[in-house]
Amino acid sequence: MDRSLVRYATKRIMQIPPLLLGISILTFLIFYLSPVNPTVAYLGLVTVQKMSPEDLDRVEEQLGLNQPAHVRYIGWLERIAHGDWGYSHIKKRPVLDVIMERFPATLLLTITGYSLSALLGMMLGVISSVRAGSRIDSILNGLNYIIYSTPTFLLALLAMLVFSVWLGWLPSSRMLSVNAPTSSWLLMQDRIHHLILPASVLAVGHMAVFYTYIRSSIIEAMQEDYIITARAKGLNEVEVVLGHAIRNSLLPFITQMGLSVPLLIGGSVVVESIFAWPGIGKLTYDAALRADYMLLMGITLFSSLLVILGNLLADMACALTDPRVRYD
Amino acid sequence: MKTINFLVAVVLIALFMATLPLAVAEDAGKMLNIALGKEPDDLNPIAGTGHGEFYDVIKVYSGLLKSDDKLQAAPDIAESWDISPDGRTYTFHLREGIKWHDGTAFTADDILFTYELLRSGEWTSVFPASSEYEAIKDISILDPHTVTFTLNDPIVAFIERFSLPILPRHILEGQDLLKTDFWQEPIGTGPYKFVSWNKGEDLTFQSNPDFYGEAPRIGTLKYVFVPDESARINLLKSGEVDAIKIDLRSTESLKGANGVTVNSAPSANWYALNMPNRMWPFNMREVRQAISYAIDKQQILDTIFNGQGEISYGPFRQEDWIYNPDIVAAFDPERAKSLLADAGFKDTDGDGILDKDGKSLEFELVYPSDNSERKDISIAIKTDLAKMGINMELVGKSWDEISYDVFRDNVIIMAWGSPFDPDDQNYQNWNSKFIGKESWWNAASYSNPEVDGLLEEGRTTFDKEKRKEIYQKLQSILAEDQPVAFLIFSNYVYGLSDRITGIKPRNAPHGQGNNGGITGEIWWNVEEWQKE
Amino acid sequence: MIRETMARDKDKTMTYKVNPILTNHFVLTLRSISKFLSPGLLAIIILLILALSAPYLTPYDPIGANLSEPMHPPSWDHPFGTDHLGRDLYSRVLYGTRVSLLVGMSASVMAVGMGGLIGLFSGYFGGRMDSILMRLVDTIYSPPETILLMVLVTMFTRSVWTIILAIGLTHWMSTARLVRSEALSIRQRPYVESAICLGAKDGYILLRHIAPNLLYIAVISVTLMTAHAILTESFLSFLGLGIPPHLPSWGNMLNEGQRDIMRGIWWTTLFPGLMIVITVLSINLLGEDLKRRLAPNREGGIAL
Repeated sequence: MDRSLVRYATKRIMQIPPLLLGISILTFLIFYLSPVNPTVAYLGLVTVQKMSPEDLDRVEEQLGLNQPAHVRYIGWLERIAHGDWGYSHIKKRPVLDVIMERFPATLLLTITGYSLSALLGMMLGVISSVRAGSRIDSILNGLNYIIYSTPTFLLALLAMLVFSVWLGWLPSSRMLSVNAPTSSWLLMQDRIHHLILPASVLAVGHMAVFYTYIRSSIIEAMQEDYIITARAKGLNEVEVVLGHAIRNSLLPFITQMGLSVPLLIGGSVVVESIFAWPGIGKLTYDAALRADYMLLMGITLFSSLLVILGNLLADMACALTDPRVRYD
Repeated sequence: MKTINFLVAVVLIALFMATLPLAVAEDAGKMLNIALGKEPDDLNPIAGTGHGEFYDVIKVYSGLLKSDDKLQAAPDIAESWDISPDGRTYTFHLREGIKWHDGTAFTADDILFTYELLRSGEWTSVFPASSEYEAIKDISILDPHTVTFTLNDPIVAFIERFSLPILPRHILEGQDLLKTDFWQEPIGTGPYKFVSWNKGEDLTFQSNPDFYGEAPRIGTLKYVFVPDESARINLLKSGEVDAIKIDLRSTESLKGANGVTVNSAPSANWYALNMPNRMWPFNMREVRQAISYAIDKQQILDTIFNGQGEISYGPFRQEDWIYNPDIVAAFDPERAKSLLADAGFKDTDGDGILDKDGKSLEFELVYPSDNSERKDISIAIKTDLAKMGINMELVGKSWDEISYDVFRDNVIIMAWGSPFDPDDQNYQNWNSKFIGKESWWNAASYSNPEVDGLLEEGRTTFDKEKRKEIYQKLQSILAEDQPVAFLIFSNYVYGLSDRITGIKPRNAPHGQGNNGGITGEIWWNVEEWQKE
Repeated sequence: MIRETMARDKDKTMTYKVNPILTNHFVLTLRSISKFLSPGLLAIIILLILALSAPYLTPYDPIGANLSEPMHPPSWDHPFGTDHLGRDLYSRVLYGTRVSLLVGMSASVMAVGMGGLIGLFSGYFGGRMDSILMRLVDTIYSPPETILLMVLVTMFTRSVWTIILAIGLTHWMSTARLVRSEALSIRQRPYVESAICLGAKDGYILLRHIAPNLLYIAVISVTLMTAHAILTESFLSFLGLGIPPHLPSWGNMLNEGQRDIMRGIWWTTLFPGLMIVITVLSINLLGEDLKRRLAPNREGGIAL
């Protein structure tokens, strides 16, 4: 292990605690500044309706809701650290349990979707840059722009309409069928069946970024002298691009993928809501619609933590592959 | 190059696998799948007004009596019963050999326990219908199979109250009903047993092998929660689900679908515009009448309800035995305008809105943002009233917020309706003694001593002819006073798989009809259904 | 082949090759105007005009129901058809333009304004202010944008202004980072250093030297951010978390249109959807064009 790598890792890890403090303050601030009555926020409208004024006062005392902000913040932080993230009134279970239950589904969807998206963007970008300036390039470029300007939910609706309603090839919602088959082979097939549509929508919706990036960086790389050498050697265009130009473009491409880490967690909100995919995104949507404040705060905190972790890993991956980063 | 080839191959294989037809689960006839739009908060069967509209859980329990397909009392836990000549005492003869789902024997003590819970008024927050049971003066167990109830007054409609689901004393005695887990894992004596509830996913019941009556033919009932209506429709079409409730306007989307029938069942559900009688300008009767004349109900029925239902001029449908045909009030905007003019409303400042004494005739209406029917009705009414010079501002809020503090003394689209005895719901809604209570009753804060008198009289009169007179008088007074502007009776529409037999639609009360919930018209006899 | 293309690309901002004999003056004038006006800009100007003059362009009320004519397909009376409450879709789409442009532009101006100021101070003053502000940026970058947005919209009362504020508060960070790095590099330029030596005050330097050189970033950012803000507002309204459902907004219309699709009614989805795509596309094109003219040396990539 290179000394510089270790130094870089240490530096990055040192940046995390203040960040954690920051997001805890941010989350608490949103909670504190919101005009919602804190007791209502903690218990949910439905429960509060049924309680008597004495009960409500008792709960207020217990949670310390009438104390100054910094005291409440410390209290809340303590509870969080002990695993008490509050109670979700729409799911009737502790917030942390609900979130932990749901986030694997999101990861499955987003990892599949965004990997496909990177793949798709890369393939199309390569095709485009190899034939730069031709009709194919213009068509792909144009399509790319149009898709980039289309809201993801519209793409999702379109996909659902065509593949689910009209053609009936794929299911339109949920992660599993109602009567999910029990044998593992059929079960996996059922899962894939349900995964295809939402993952493809994510893929198509996000590929624009990758496409443009790869295309322009390959085009620039093609200006370099070693390309002329490669051509002089007798390689054809495709081999030139794939064998040489792409190598130098790949690194920043990976950096770009690293920038997409927050999307892995939050980017699927719309797609999950439309396809009723039981992940964090849909959870956020349900919580927002029915004003489940504890759940919303829990999701904010949790997703921030995941993003920080993800960014750390992505940065480490970059540092491993590109030594220049370590001296940043 | 090679890597790309490999990747392409992988993708193609995955796609190929994915489009293979799925195997159908075996034993399909033994299982009924229903897609619900809204997940229940808990499985408390008495959480509403006490007539068991909660068909997702009611089959777990049984009551002393139940309602048959003509809405008449039929035996359930009680094999037979007698009513004393003065109408105050009910004696029930119980069946033998009833067991709870956990194997414990059922006894008359469970009946006493349940009714006392409601009668004591201690648990009103858990059982909102508790106040109804205060009419019971005494309950006595004469012997292990005979129970007597004595009422304070001879209330005709009370026999329907005996369908109250009986709760297990051996589990609930001494427990804090607000905190107990029992509402998440119920145990009853009914034809179906609770199996599991995956929150946010599904709710499963299985037929009770020890059921004292006829065993249900369908072995498993599974409810799946799918909030989006188009998703529910797709599930029905693909055969994954056997029954759903749909919005009235979605009937076209199921036309021509294989193996699916659309069933439009008339219900007692009526919608009205709530006008808080104690607030200006609704404290003037002319204003309320004018608003009622100004709304084109036929158009609302035709477009928002797809013509499925009928115009409502009062809380009773045309087919009800008690309906008063003389109260029909047509859509008459001219009359509305003259009523307002006579009441002293003129447009003095030329802004298009009528005013009087310096106050403009405008107010806010709160509608539930996730309910498309009520939202659309609100928009339609706003347009109709605008033509009169009345300005109605629309505010959208979530249903939870509305039920928390908004419904009382606010203009909202309310809905009620009961096919049972005319006393049911009407006694509470038009009676001034319910004003200001912590419940949904009489949200209009309507107060008319003559009506109060009629309601008291009607509930204790046994002679059918006399009752008809009384309630017809009630209807004409309500039509005059217009405490709320009655709008529409709507049907409830279901999409059902053709493989189901045994469905017998009957009139049902207002219930969780919105957002794909299930109400009584179809589900009341789900234990008698069969599926191929 | 690629070399020639690159040359062609670079040439796009320069003169066009014109055959002086065969081309007439009209076309020449058009071409010189079109050098100035890209198709994106043109489309946006048209949209702005439509938005501002919406009340004059249609006799129908976009909010009130017209129950006598529900769900009519496009016709002479109703060029875009009517929705399930009989409302003329064409007017709703027009009024929706107002909402979208209002929300889009306000939110983006707010975001870029905030981000620009923060980036400016951060980059110029450096030191502790810089680290604190950048910590702030990192912190707000942590929760995924969509989740933070939905939380903000729910925790605070739902109205048009909350949405604008929420979008603004979640989108200023990228501008801040850009402006900061640019401000940093400008500050190190010789003429700035000499100005400092000569005793110029901070305020003077900021206003006279640094800020003007950052304007191009602001212009490009506002443009691209508007597109993003319009997309954001539309998905929020589509989910029912944005503009109140009875007001006309493209997202709201798509929400109602979603149900109509199942009933075979396509026009309530097609027209609002098309408008969103066209509007956002035009703004993006304009943004790309501006990028090419004002910042030709930057690396590729869609976001700035």
